[in-house]
Amino acid sequence: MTNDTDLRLEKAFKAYGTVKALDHVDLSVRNGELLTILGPSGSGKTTLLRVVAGFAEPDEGRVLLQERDITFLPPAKRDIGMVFQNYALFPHMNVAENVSFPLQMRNMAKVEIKKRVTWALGIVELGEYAERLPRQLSGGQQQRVAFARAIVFDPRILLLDEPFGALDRKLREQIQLEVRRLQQQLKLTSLFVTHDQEEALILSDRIAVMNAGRIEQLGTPHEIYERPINRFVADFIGISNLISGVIEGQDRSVAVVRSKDGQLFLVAADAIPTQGTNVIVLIRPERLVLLDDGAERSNRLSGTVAEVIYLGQSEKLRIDIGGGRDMLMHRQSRLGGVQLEVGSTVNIGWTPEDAHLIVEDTVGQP
Amino acid sequence: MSEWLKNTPKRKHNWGKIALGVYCTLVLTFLMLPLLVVFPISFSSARYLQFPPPGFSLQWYENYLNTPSWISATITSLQVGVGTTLLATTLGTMVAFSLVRGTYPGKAWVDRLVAAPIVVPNIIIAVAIYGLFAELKLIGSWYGVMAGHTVYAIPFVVLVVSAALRNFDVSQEHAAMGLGASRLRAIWTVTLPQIKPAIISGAFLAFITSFDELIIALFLSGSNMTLPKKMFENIISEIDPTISAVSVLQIIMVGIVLLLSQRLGAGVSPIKS
Repeated sequence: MTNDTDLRLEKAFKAYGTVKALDHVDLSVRNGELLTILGPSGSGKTTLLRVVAGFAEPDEGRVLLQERDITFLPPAKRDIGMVFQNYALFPHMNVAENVSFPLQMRNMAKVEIKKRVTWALGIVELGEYAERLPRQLSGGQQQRVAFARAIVFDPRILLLDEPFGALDRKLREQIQLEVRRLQQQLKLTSLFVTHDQEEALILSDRIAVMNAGRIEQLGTPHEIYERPINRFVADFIGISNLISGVIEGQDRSVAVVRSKDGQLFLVAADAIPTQGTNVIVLIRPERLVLLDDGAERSNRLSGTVAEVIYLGQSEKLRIDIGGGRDMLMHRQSRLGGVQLEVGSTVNIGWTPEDAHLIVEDTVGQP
Repeated sequence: MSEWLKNTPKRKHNWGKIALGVYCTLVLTFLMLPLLVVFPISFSSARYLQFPPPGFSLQWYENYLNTPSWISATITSLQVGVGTTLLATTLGTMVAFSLVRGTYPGKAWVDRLVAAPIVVPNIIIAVAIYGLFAELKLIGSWYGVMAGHTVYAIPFVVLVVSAALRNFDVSQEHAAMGLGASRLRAIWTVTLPQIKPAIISGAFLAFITSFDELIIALFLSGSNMTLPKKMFENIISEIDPTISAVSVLQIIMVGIVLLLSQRLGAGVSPIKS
């Protein structure tokens, strides 16, 4: 184990009956990073978290925390700070008592406890609320108490189990950024579990996309979004236009793909599969441009506008390109220029660099 | 005028609601009437059970306080009651934990059988325990009765506490363990304080169950009588109004316990927010 790794799973395997919740998962969380486990429900992300926290034991494999094997160590001995989905604050204790709980369990001296609780409540800016009961606080404040309680004992790592789910949208964004800022400020190695891809993109240093007990892809938010490794990841993260086709040839670093209905598309790629390989071309909706505005692109499609959703700062278009297929397009709204209405005929296009090539053989089963 | 606008509906009398009110009043009256007899007789100046009493007197309360056998029966009953409460509450709470949190073979059966002592007629429990305790030479000791009453009282505690435990958010316990508490300490510091109202209710139920239980005491207590057994013997042999004085005292005692149970049984809600 290298020194910059705080947490490592080695071939972790756990099955519930015939369902593999963890299918030989390898994962390393680096010192100080926030790594997100992202996946739909039933993907195994909660099991992974429970195995790390100590609430479940893997059937096979090991969990290492700062080079120590903790696979069978009880949760209380792991020194892991955890923020729960519903915060799990103790309703019969006030804020200060909640935050001091982990310190009391460590039989710390009273003076030290007081000092640390003051510090932690100061960090989340709740110093004046020490005497309040959790139910007298707003959702956002409760969330911050839960965070203070998770970091007050200087944990080795921090686990966050969908901690923002109960907050309304506006508050959620604010608290997310706050947690991210504190996490970076305190250099806390963090493992964050969520099913919300937007949240994952905002907060993470790296994202591990999980599906059916396996990690499909591990990478930075940018890599995950722009270079998904298979159909599952492409579908799960963001909105995707996917065109199935076959490799026809290549021109230096540009692949030529023939789609099922015979059209040719150019896709820039580092490694181009051999001729005849089944591939998927991914184009994100915001990469599409309207050629009728006067733009030039080497890949083009024409169709009719089937739906327009106006969002204020931008608009979403669904364009019927025939054969029962749609392309989704996302563009900045503007004054003037071509105004689109349902039924208008449009030409859309994109450059080879706007598209991403996925080899069909590595398709994940969603 | 259109059909729709013709009739404005009038308020209807809710006969069902009225009938329910009448019915409830009748039931309450039926349950309360004996008290209207017992209370006056306990203050009777007559020498025999006679209603209505011919005059006012405190002689039967005096008699109760001055008769050593009544007092010792009361003390025995309190002893048995408190002991039963402590035992049944502790054991019952542990059973409740095992039923709600545990996974072990045969749990479904334990769950089904746990209420058996309530369902099985007391006399059967009494006879069964009598057979066993006679061999163990436990007949006539207050702790023998306490053991018998505990068997009978445990299901009450289990039912009340396990209901609260089922509503309790287990992630609280996980949080406590994740924060450094052992399982026992997590239960002690986080779970128990929050289900305390249910445990208190269960404890009071256990006490009341024991305090006016007759049949098990009849078989097990021998000459070391509990209050209900002493009352029973009194009815058979003497029939004087002392028994109504004792009844009044007993009703007051149970009433106080019920009141306390309501007071202390409330508080922090054990239900997850």
